[in-house]
Order: sequence, then structure tokens, then C-alpha cells
Amino acid sequence: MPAISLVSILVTGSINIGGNAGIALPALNLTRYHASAATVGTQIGWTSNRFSLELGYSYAGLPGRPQGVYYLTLHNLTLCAAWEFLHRRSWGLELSLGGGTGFVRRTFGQALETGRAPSLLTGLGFVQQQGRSRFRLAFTNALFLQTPGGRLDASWIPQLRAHISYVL
Amino acid sequence: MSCRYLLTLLCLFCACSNILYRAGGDYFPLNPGCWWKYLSDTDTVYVSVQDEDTVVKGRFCRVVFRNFYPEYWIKGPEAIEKFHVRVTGRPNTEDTLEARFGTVLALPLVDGSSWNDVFRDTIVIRGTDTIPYEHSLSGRVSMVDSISTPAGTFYDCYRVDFTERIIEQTAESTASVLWFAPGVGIVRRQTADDDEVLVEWGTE
Repeated sequence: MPAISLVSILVTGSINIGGNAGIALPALNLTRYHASAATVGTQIGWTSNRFSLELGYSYAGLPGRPQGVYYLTLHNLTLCAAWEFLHRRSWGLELSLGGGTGFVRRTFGQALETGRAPSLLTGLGFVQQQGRSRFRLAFTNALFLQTPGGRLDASWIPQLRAHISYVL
Repeated sequence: MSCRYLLTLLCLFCACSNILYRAGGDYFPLNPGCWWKYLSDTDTVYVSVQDEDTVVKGRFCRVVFRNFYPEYWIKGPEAIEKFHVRVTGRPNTEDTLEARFGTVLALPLVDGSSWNDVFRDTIVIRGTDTIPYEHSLSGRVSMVDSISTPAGTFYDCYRVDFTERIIEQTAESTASVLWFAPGVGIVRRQTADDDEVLVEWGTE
């Protein structure tokens, strides 16, 4: 029965595929050594009326501050759910919540440090759908969670992104 | 079976390595009023940062007292620099061999990164005699480590191996290993004949 319900929900929605670009702004402690940078990504989503679910990948390469031999690159895989709290015929405003994992590389000349951090994402976005094109402008807070010495700590990288998708 | 796959996937996604915590960490806090107390086999070492900055060689720097002896440090976004002074004595006079800021740490600290600060000069004495002088300090981040001291256990520390070489009339080389903890600074300093560990630290 749940499987039938899930299939019926999926059938009533639409699938969209697209890409996104924006800016990643390191905040709090990360501003000590990192500058803001462009971020690009791709996503595949499913939308039904006010609800949408999206699987995404994004890349950001944060240069050192001041720019030199140091770089931090971030590959982030995410799964986000969004709900349009304000829904009009061709546009809306949505809140999103999701999670994922970030694959991080720090390079300093030949030195390389790699690691992983789970992420929690919350966002607010403007959505517009016209015909087969879907546009979204979203402000997303990406919190990367860590446990140094057993206590919870978060690194914050807010992002402003424009998403463009083609509805299949 | 599917539960096992799900758990494996969950562990893969949730496992973290604190890399972003280290990326934003301040491993050499030089805030006014900060103090550290170290204990070694032979001595107790007090280190404190003076409240007011001073100017040395036209640059603003922090005054750090190490057992009440002043040291001058500059903390920049790319490096931590220390004012090196070395004089050679002669009857009735002294000749300055070195008086300059040199890099001690290249920032930010990344596992495997290394740097080398070299100063070379030739000092002329009495118009005819010359002394070739060289001072080099090389550092390498050798690992990310956890370390226990009487002040507590510190995680995500960077261990840095230093080699200092001074060539004056003879060559002398000293090796030391320092552990830097985020938000704390140096928590352990190991040399060939001494081992200092952090006992207490705080801000006045």
C-alpha cells in the first residue's frame, strides 16, 4: 500500500534536471584564512505542487586570504526537501531543509589535507516556473558539523545560488 | 541485509574528520592578556602577551614575555614572524649580526606543509675583518595529533618539526618539535634536552 501511494505521488509530480551557480561566503572562523568564491553545481529534482525534493552536487574552491598558495576546495553532495509557503500560479517562495556530506581538500603548495564533514542545509528561495523551465534563486546556510574532542562544532558557509532546471 | 547497507551508507556520510574546524582554527593566539604556564624537567616557564603593541623596525608587533624576557612577534594572515636579534661581543663594543623579523610559521597550517626562512649577511669589523653569518629556520607540519598535558587533552593539534641553523664562526644546529592546539597555541615544546608541557593557560 505505501509503495502504491509513493508511486502515485511520484507520477503526479515532475522531474527536473539542471545546474546552478552562485557565491559561497565563508563565515565565522573560516574568514580567518578564506575568501569568498564562486560555486557551481548540478541538481536533479522532483516537484509536485508545493513540495520538491532535490539531489545536488556543488563545488567551491575557496582561495586563501590573501590569495596565494593556499586553497580549500569543497565538493558537497546534498539531498534537500523544499516547501513553497507562498504559492502563486507561476512563482512562489520556499523554505528548504536538507543534509549531505562535504568532501574537503586543503592544499598548501605540495601539502594536502583531506577530510569529510556532514552538512545541514537550510534555505529560503524564490521559485519561478514557466513552461518547461524552472528558475530558483536561493539563499542557503550550509552548516558543516564536526566533533572536535567529542563536542559539537559547526563551520558555516552561507551561499547564494541561482538554479536553472529543465522540466522533463 | 538492506539495513546493513543503510547503516554503512549512514556511517560513510556521517564520518567526519574535523578538517573545517582545523581550517578555521587559530593555532597561535596572541591576544593581549593571554598567558601560558609551562613545566619542564628543570624549569617553570611563564609566557604572557602584553596589553599594548609596540613598534620595532617600523612595524607594529606584539610583546610576548617569556620568563619576563621580551620577544617581539607579528601575526599576519600568511605568517607568524619573530624579531631575531643576535650580537657578537668584542672588547668595549658589540656588533649586531642580525636584527630583523623572520618567519616562524607559514599560515595556515596544513598537514605536510613546509617553509624555510634564511638570512645571510657578512659583517665587517674594524673595516677589514669580515664575519659571514647565516641564520635559517625551517619548519614542517608533520602530523595532526592529539596530545595530553597537565592542562588537559588537546585534539586536532598540528605537530611542527623545526630545525634552526646558525653559522657564525662555527655552525650550530638545533632541532625542536612543537605542538599547536586550536585556540590555545603551543601546548608542548620538545628539544634534545628539554620537554616543556602546558600546565595552565588563560586570559587576564
